[in-house]
Amino acid sequence: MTMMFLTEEQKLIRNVAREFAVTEIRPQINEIDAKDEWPQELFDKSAALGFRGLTLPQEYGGLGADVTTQCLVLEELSKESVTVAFLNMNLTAEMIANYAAEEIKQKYLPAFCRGEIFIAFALTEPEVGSDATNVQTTAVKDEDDFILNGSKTFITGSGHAAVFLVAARTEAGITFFLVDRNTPGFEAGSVYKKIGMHGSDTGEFFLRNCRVPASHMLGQEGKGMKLGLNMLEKGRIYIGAYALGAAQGAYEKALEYSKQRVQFGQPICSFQSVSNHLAEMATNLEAMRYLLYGTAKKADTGQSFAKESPMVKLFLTEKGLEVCDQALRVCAGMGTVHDFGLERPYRDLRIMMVGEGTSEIQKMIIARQILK
Amino acid sequence: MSKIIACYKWVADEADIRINADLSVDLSKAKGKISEYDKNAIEAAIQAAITLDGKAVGLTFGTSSARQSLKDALSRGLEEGYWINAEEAAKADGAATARALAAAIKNIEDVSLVICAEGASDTFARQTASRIGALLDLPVITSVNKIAIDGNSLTAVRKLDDCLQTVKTELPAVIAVLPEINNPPIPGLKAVMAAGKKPQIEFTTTELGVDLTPKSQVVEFKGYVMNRKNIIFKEGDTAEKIKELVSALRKEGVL
Repeated sequence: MTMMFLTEEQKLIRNVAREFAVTEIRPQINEIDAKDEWPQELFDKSAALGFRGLTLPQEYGGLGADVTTQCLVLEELSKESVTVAFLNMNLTAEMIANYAAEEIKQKYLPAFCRGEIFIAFALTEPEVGSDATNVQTTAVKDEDDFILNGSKTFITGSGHAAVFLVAARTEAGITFFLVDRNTPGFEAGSVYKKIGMHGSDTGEFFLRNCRVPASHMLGQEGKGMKLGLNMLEKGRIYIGAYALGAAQGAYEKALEYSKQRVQFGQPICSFQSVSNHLAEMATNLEAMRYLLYGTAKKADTGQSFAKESPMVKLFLTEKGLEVCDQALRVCAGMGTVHDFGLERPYRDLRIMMVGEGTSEIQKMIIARQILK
Repeated sequence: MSKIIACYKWVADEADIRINADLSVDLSKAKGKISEYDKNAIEAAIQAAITLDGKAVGLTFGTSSARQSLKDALSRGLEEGYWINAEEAAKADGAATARALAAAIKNIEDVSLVICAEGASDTFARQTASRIGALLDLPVITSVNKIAIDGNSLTAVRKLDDCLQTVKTELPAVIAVLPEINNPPIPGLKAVMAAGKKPQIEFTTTELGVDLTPKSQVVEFKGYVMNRKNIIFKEGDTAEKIKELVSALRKEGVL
């Protein structure tokens, strides 16, 4: 897809992201993946370049860019590492920018843009997954504060986040609170060893009588579910960007390998069984790109993307995984070698297929949209 | 405030260049980019401007496609971008390029230093700095891998084949820098977004009154293919293997 509609500025920003990905992420990502270590140094560098605050308002240190620009950056970073792209995304900070009190914005957003803190999204609980409304964590009003109790699980950044956007149930309903990691009663739990997205820590934490000021509440009390769903709606577009980048990177690697690898006296791309894979991968990538950037355009022009956003998540993660699988088939034995870097996007995308709602849930949301 | 000019070229990205079966070169899918070593010239200009308390500006000579280079160059820290818009640039040789650049430099006020890269990543002809110096009657220092500026004096270390040579000159001057002079940083996104607001000045060849007729013509442009012999000397010890290698090279007429 020739991205004819991109502005010169967007093309330059994409080039900067590409340069960062190739020169900074590529040389160390295999090691980060193998050691499963939080890549703080990369975050410091990406924050200094302005990736963290890309879509945040300028008054808090952001750059005020649109969804399309964010997707371009996430796609380029994901070509080298979905983990680094994911941890550079700023939807939680956007939620703060949109719904928090001014003093909270001043306290957290500039630090976030500078890369000093990570803000985690904490909705999932042992009994809350696809059934997102079944939040059991409680928040009980006590004068000017709320007392939070409950446990959260599958929280990305659980080990490193300085602040958590915690969904809790008050008398009025589900409400989001900003909970500082240093709050007495906050206790981090296990960090899971995952199939992919190594370098990002996903785990659990517990809140035991955590006293949180009422000023740390986002939006109106009891209206949190709407805020959360709005965030997830946009987040699904960004997941599409990770999937596209990871799949595009895998495809490019397989294409190059197929031209160089000689068997039976000729490059393997000259065999139809291999070139068919390449043709299917290229076609899927083209379709993925159109759906992603078409939806991003809708978001940027103020149109509803409630139907398209789950479609992006569903189609791009499913097809992205298919592309990665075909890339592995093309590269055969070499594809299975860790240092070749082709099995990583496959593993990472398998997580993207689940995060922010499984494919099955996306289908349910799409069906609701088209049947209403 | 004096100006430090970084000259740069908008070239085809080598990653997109394809060699056809008949060895002809396919540039049709090649996107443009600032020549790699010119990024070193730009960074050197920015650093020199800090020392001289001057203004680092960029200057390029290119076809209409080079317009898009201005924002890229400005995002790297330059404060103004100058572009000589000429379709003749596509076929220009070193002489025509230097005439165009020199004519533009004459039109830019208060220039204290002109910085080129040692060569462009497409032709690597290494002519621009020397020719600009000759046309403007300015001192020229090429192959520079280190500079120090003190007042109006510039001291440069030249990296030559077998030695390092330190030379000193008074400004204004023209220098050609090697890639090891610095490590150009990746531009920040804030700088990219601010680049659009910086001044861009376009020159036309009529305005500059410059003759762009090339002195040389490109007769043929072909890809280079190295045919490997795939001869491996396995037998014997190292001395015997080298003897065999030398004998094979003699047979091929290489030695």
